[in-house]
Amino acid sequence: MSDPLAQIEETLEQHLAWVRDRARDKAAWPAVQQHYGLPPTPIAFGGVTPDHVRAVVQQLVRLAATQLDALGTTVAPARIEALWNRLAELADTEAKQQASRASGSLGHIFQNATANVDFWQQKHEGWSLQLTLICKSCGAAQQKTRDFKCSYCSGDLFRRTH
Amino acid sequence: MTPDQTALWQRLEGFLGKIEERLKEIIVEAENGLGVLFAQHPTDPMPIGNAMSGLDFRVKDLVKKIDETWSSQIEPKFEAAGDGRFLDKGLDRKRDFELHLEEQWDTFKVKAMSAYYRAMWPLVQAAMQKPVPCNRCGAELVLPVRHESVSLPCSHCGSVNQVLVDTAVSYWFGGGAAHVFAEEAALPCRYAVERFRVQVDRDRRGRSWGQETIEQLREWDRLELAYWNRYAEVKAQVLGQPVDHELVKSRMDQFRKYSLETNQVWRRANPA
Repeated sequence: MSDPLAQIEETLEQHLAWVRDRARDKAAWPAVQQHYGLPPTPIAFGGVTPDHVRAVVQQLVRLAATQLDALGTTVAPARIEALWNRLAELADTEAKQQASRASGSLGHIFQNATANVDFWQQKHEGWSLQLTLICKSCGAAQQKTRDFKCSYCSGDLFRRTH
Repeated sequence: MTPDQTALWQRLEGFLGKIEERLKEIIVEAENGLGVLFAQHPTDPMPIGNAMSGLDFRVKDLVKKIDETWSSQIEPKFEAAGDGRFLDKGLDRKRDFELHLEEQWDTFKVKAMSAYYRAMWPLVQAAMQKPVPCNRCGAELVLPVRHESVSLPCSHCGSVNQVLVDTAVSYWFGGGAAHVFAEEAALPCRYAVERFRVQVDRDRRGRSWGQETIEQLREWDRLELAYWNRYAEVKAQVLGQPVDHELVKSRMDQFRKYSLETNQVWRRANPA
């Protein structure tokens, strides 16, 4: 092939196709990780996750970027820029696709399962697990458990989170 | 079997084979989807529980499909194709298959949940080791326990701090992990109960639906007790507490009240 840019694109597509195919089989995944220079992590439960795919595709992107860098900007600058842009988003895009591929026809069950939980998590973000009661009048902290009168000025204690 | 019966039998096997294939697909897809969910929510079992309910519904649909197809299409043909023995054989095959399906699904569910809680443990440990500073002076509080909410005065400034349990720790010790691990360990005992009940039904059918024998009822009682003992034993191990004999007793009391004491043979052998 005479067009070096097309060669990089074709190689990238071949690698991606191979990774996508292997991402269906958790038993085959450690070999994929090893192939791209990552430590193999056998998956005990669950399939190949979006994070697994993201890590591998990031390696793949690095390889393609090195080749693309060597080309410089002399050949077809618009195409080169388009490929750079694609590489910048490739890992996230592939990870997202893996998330929707993973659960197949049951995808909506998993979407519903998180919808409600995400709402409440956002609502209570930053909520403290620790609190002290302080006096409304002088600001002193509670000194004795179950004693709701300030030991300094006898004012009422009220709840204050950290 | 006559050629007609052989053909019917093969059709039944083909139908059950398709159902089993679908269950396997659901299990593979569910494992992948749950894996993603585990990674997204490593310390919050709520979405996992939500997903399990949805998946359960799918599997119940499959079991319902067996029943519907059996009643509307298979049973009439089995009745017409021979004497009652051929129909009984078909019914046994259906029941064995349903049991097999339920066992496969229950095993998957329990294994999924135990994998989730096992993966959660390092996060729970990290949360329990995290230092907790006093809300007023910032000095480190010496908490007597980390899996229960405590209210204690700071040893430096005397301010009372109410420290709630970390969410992951609360889910782990609040019954989630203990229940799941106990259920996982006791699952073979539950299967033993279910299989025994199927055997008893077949024995009764062989005796023109005669009553269950007292030996059979005692065996049922023994198997049920073995299940709850195993459950309580593992739960106690996980929580680091003594075995909760009261739990076993209450479950067995319920079981005896509604399953055994309504049986005349049992009542005669065990007058109140």
